[in-house]
Amino acid sequence: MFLSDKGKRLALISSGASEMIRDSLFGDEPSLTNISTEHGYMNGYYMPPGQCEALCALCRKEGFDVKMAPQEGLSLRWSGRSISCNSAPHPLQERVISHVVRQFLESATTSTGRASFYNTGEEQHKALEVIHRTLFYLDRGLYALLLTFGGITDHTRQMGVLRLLSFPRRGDETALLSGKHESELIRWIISTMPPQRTLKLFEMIARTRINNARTRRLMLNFLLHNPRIELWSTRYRSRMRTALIHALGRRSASIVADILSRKDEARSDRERKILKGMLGAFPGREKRDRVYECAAFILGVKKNLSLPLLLAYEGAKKELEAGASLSFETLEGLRSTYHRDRNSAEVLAMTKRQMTDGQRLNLQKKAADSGVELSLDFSRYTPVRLYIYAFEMGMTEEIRMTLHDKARDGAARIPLSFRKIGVIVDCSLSMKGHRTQAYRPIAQALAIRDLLSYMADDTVIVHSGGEIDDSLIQPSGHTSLASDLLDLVEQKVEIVFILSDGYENAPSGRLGEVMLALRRLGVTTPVYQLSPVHAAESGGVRPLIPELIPVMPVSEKESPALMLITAIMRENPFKALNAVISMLPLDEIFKMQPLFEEGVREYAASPA
Amino acid sequence: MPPAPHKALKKARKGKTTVAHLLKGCEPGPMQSAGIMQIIPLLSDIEDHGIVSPVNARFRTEAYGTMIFENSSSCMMLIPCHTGYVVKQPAQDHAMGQAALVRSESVVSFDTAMCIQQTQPGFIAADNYAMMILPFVLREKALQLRKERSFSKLWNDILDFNRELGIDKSQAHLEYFFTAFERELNQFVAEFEWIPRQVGALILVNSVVAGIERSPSAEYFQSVWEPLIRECYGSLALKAARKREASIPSSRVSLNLDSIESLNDLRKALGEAEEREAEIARKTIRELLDEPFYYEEEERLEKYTLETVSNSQFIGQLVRDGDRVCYLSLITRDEWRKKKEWDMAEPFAI
Repeated sequence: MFLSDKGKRLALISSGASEMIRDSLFGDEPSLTNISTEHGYMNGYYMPPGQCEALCALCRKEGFDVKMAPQEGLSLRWSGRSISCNSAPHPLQERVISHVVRQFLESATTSTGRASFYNTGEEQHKALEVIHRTLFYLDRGLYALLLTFGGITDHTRQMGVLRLLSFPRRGDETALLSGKHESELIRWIISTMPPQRTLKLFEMIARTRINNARTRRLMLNFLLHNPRIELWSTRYRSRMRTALIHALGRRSASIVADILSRKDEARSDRERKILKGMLGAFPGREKRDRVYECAAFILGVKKNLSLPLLLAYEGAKKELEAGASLSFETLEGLRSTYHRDRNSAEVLAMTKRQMTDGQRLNLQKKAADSGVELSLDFSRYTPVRLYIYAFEMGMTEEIRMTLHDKARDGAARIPLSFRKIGVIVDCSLSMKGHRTQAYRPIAQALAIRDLLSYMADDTVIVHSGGEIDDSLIQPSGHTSLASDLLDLVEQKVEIVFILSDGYENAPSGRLGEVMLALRRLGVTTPVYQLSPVHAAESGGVRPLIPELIPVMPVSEKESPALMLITAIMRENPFKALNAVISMLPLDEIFKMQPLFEEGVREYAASPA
Repeated sequence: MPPAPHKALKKARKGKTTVAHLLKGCEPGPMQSAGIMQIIPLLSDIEDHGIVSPVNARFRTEAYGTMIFENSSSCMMLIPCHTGYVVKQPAQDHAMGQAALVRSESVVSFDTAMCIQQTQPGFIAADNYAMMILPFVLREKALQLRKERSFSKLWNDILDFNRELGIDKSQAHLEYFFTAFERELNQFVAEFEWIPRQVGALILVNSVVAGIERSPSAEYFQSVWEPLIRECYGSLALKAARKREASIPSSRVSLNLDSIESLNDLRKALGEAEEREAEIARKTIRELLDEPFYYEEEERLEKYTLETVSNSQFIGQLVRDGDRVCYLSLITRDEWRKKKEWDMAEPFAI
């Protein structure tokens, strides 16, 4: 069965015909796996039209049933608020959209690009690439829109923006969003991500050598037209330098650095014009001089400094105290290079006033070890971060109360309530996560547990495995969930949520046997699995029992909404897609105006 | 008549040690089961914290067939039997032919190691790398060749191993196997979890014991858990699965769904299944041959002795502190597995 797709077609092959595909010349790895259709689970293969016809003929010859979806493909329409289809979609097309979008949302809300307990970072990346590519081929506009959904991780956004910028729109390309809207959306994403993540994205852009005009303009706008440029120049100097050199071009960057090394009075008119063309126009001389000085500093020019943070940076190389206004990481870096006789605790004490909330939380252990007191306002952190903090530093009454308040307030914002729910929290060792993101899976599971418990009049919570330590559950041991499920069913709960990464081993499949037995006994209690971990080998979240228990990704506060959306997605993909779109900050995205981009546009349109 | 020692033991001496003695102080934990592989955890409170694993050690190569380990800790470092490194840098991957001991705060070079990437030139730079343990089917041969100084000594066996798994290449590169079966191996390691107090494990593939592992401490065992399950025993399970042998082993107890008519029945069936699995675990350990091992002393370092041992079922290495067994890595012999396969075969009937 076929669906058109940018010149290629997607053939859905049933498992019965898979062996024939493998043995024939078409034996490539499927692009999509386990698409649920009315004919059972199928795999999807992208192939050119000619190959499709040959495959079709082979299938018929071998006695397989062949069905064709409309060859012109699926054309999506965007009204500015909702998505619809130009003509009624073929049921198989609906299935594919549902599958691709669901898989994307599952991975996009759980993947961090780091290794998980079971998969290396590289495996995770490969699996994500396939998922991104598939949705991008389907419709780049839809792909771009979904990147703005609330629970999407920054890593997914980085990958998404990189992909959108890597593949400039073809003139004849039809997509849900216009080129202008897509650019506005990209600008919104990079301006709302934490700066270090955006700069990392720019490094990825430089590494993959994407240097089209749109990308350069976007980078220069972000780097030079931001009010925090002075702080970023000291804090992220190396990344800013990589990004600026890439956006300007190595030769142009060298010319800019040379011109900026002279004072304004010493520059010729031609040089001023070059600077304006390359770095952009700025309202007012004061702002322009500030940006020029920062750009010079980023490019390695140390002369004629006047901005306080830049002076502090250079001054700290000689005398550590001069850098007291810098961030902790910056000054600590300078200390370890220029003042090895001084210790980190001194830097911590000097810089504690300008620490961000994130730094305050991350540096608590170091501060405690160094005898420096760093005040914390727990209410400013998400429940997941608080749980991770509690696992590392110990649970306190204050944190516990904050977590309760956050769960209560979070539940109040979700228009869902239950009479009596059952929650099984998988606390086996794998829920501890990989060392690069230690405790994240269990922290997410506990945060969702708290949220769910406020969404029902009565909640029965079972922790499967783990060891209680300071009123926290330390993940340990094997995974055995079957008897816990039975416990909850016996207590007549209305719905069961299993918070698990999907790996059962004591023994594997026992939960499935119990589920099957319960259904045979007429027990209809809905059971859902919520997974906080992206599993590379299953191309999304890993289901405990693929056909019996629906699995949904966990992404903190969006989880309950996402859970419902992914459930609807199976039956009515357009309804679910429009539900997702109704949650996007579209007003905010498409109202954003470009910042002072005249000069930059001029440069980008006619690069040196 | 008692069986002859394995030919890997050149100067074999008859000992009195049996499996029961080697597992002294251990008790079986709840069996973990996924697909055709099962693991019976060995739990113990008897630990030796004076031995560390090389998981945090720096490693390098400076000549083909020579592996150099830096032990910067204040403890004795025990390199598990058949530890290897498959690295991403353009350098020859290597593996040890046996277990080894490295004194605290010292650097030791082993020149009887093996190259496992035939055509790749270059040496591995000093760093801390993820270790692996040779695939199960290569281990018996590697042990047999452990004293031979030849970097190419395992190449023919690697070629055969790859070929059996459908990798038809003419170079003996073990990384071909890891690349080809990356997804499946990840799946295997994902299915099993180390549990607290676990110092070792009995590994079963298709209900037949494939190996016994015991470590000096729970911490040590946790550090070698992944290479053992993923590369060593995972490869065996993969091979067995490819032969389309039984997908659910007989030692995996299934619930009899037809006999369940109420929630009480289901609860009872669950309890019975757990009890039957525990009994199978106990029986599996009881059934391990109570036949004494032949042994050959390899090395003595401070209070520790490294020995190679074999009886008709197992071959492997162990480390003792006097009478006390600190480390054990036994795999079933090829010959024994063939005999077992014959014994378990269905009688001919039409």
